[in-house]
Amino acid sequence: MGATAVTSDITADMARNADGDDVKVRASNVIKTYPGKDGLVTALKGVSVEIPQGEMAVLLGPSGCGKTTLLRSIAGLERPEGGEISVSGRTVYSSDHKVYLPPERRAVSMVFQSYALWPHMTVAQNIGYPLACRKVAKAQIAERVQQMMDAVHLGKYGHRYPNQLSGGQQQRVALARAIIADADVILFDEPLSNVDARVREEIRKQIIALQAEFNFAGIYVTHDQVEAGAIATKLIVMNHGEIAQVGRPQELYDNPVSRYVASFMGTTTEVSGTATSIDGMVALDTAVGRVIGKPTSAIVDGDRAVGVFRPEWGHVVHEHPGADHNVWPCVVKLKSFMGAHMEVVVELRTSSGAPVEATVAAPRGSGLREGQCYYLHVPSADLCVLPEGEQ
Amino acid sequence: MSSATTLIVERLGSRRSAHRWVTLLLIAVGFLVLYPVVRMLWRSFVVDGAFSLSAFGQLFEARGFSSMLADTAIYVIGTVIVATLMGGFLAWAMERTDARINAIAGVLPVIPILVPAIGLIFGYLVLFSPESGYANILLRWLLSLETTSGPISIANFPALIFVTAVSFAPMAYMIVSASLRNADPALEEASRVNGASRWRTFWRVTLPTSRTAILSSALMIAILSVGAFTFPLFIGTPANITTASVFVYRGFSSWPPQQDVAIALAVLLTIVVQIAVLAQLRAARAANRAVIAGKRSSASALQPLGPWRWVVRGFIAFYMTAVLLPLLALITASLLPYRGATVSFDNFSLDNYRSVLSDATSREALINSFSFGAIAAVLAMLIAAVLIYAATVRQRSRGIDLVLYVPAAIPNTALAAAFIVAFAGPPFNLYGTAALLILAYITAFLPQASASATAAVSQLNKELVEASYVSAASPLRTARRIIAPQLLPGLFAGWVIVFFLGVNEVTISVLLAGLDTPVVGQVAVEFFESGRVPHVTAMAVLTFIASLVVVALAYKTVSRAAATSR
Repeated sequence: MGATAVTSDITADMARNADGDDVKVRASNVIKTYPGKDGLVTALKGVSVEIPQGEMAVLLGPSGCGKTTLLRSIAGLERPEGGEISVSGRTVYSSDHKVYLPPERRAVSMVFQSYALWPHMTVAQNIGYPLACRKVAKAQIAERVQQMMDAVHLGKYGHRYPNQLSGGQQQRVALARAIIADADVILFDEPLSNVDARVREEIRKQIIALQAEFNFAGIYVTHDQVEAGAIATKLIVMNHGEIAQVGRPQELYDNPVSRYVASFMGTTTEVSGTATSIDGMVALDTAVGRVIGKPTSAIVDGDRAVGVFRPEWGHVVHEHPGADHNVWPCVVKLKSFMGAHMEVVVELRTSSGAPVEATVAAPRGSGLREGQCYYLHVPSADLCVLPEGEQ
Repeated sequence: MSSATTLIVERLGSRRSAHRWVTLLLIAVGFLVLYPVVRMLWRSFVVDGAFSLSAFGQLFEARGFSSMLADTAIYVIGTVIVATLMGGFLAWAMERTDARINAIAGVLPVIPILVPAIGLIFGYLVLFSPESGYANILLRWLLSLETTSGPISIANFPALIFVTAVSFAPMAYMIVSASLRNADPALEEASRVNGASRWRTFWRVTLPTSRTAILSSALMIAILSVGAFTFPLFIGTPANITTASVFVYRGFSSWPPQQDVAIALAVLLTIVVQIAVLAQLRAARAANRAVIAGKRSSASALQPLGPWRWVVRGFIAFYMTAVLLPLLALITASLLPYRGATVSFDNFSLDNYRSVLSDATSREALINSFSFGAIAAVLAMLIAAVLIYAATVRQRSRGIDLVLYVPAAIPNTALAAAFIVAFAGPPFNLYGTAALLILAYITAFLPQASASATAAVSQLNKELVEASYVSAASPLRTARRIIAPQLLPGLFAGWVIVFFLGVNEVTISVLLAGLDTPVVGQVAVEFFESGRVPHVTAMAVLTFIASLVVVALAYKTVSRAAATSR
């Protein structure tokens, strides 16, 4: 890998940023229920997504949020009860028109969590299978398989059986098999959850590079927020069978529209209070006094709302920073070394007596001591005000 | 599993024709399994169109009925106690003590299949025959006895029970060791930490936690010994012991025939075994419930026994000797020209084999047994695989399970009697035909075939099938290229088991094989009754070796297939 990996990373980024408006997967209002212990469980409550060519859409959420069900419905491995799904402009499922195409007629490929390599076939046979199913001539299959194996650095392993490969190598065979048929859409079902951290990063880069080369539309399911941020051009956070928010990873991180998305995307500190709007900003009356922040979704005056900030948005300083809001005296309770920075837990004094704790990132060498008093400042342009709702 | 299989159903199964074929097969197999039993019940309970118990009155008044009842009771109770103790003790020694010998722990479960009853029995007959038995000769020499016979005879109850128990003990071993493996050894460690001695721990913790498993295995052995035929026939006959299944056989084979009495007894046996089977199912269910959830401790379950270790190992060695020594004796005897010939190289010859192979009947019997066994095994596995696959796919399995597992609750003697009643006469007229034998083998071994097929089908990996579909493979290609290669090794292993059981079958063969279709089990009985023991030993060894060759080939294929699967 080494240097080539870096350059292919850059080209991948360029390809990924080029907006194709050619929609490859369109799901609208997809509904899916399962028989559960007590009655039906709704796994998808009318979900709609659009994924253009060259885009990598990541479905992110905790287990049971419906992300895998949506992926499998697109593949044709599950049959929804309602809605419509089209792949490359062709309707593959429609409840209204009674259309259901089986998976083998949908022109999608899929990478499975368990790799799903056929144990009785060699690496070359595994990779060539999708071509054989599409009635490609033998000589051509052999040539394409060799190209594909070279592309995933498995050139010499064609005659091995899957059980003779390492986990990372097996995953690359699974990747090659998914990509070789040149499908418009490739589905990834938590493909990296079974390999160790180092291999995971390497294969993630390889997926990005392969997407740049083959320009497919990707849908990628994961519950790992870091992995999602690294690979997504479009991040779709799901919650209980519904889409919570869609956007670029940075948008979802900086401007979450709900406490659910905010906390799923990373560590947060929350202070709750009553909202009043001023000049496009929202002021909250909280136990630590007045908190001013930006609303990322509609907030009604007088409602309960929550001010949310991430560790790196707050600054713990020795002197009062001079700002007239969002500055609170605080005591450092705990410092933890996190590598690039220190994570500091501070306690804010409150009017009600019950202290509020906040987690803040501080640069190393800022000279903070546990038990000492400082000021915490969170600029109002960073702090998000979100509806209280359910978390 | 389920969603993948549902998917396959939707594609393959929902096609009308496939559905209809499965239903037809189920009806055909249901007929094969249930019709003979129903006919047999009908014949013994209905006389001239009216319900009657006269057949049973006749049975109770039959000569030797009460002594048969006593013999059966002694035999069953004795075998249950000895076999359960043997198997249970082996299980405890292997799973819970440092007397464990890994190689033997692997071999024990396959002994019932690998060591056919007939080989074991004739091995013991050769070892302990009063005058010429090798063990007896050795003992006389060691103890400087002046007699020409004895000191040990196996023509008695203790020997009959012991030999049967040696053969059945692995059943108890499998059930009890599975339960011990499931129970967390931390239970015992907790007892030790709390101050209980090793023996107190054994009595108060180990034994109670495996109580249901012990009960379940005792009932299992009761079912097996009620139906056991080979042991009481060969060992019991010289000792004037007649158990129920031998009584049924005599009813059919002796002159004047007493078919009605034999059939009535077969019905009675079936009913008694039903009760035991129901009890066994309950016990087995309770044994499954007793599995303790939670994280298992990683500590070794093997308790050090100190000097006792060698005592326990001694017992393990004794058991293995009790299995293997007779086989060695059998091979030796098959090389000697007549019973009692001195064991020396000069006397060794292949004469017995030559005469077995040149004798038309025994040669034909060998060929028949191997081909009938192979055909029955193929058909049984095919039936079991199709029906069990259909059951998983439709998620409706009651009817299928019933049909496949009912034969396990019918003693083979009774099954053979039922087949005679149902198929021997018009309209089928199958008596003495190869078809009747093969059908009976299929029926008798359906439960074993089904167990193997269930294991194979449950190992079918859902994602491997889905991966084929998303690779654009048609259902047919998926079935051929992905599903079949995954199922085959498991089905093949099942084939080996059924083949082995069929080749070595005695009980059914002796009642159903006619003059034109001799098979090994039946010819062995004939030779034995006409005193041609060396020929039986040669035939047993030939069967054993030929089966081993088949198994070795099978094992090679299966392990090669297994090597390529993770």
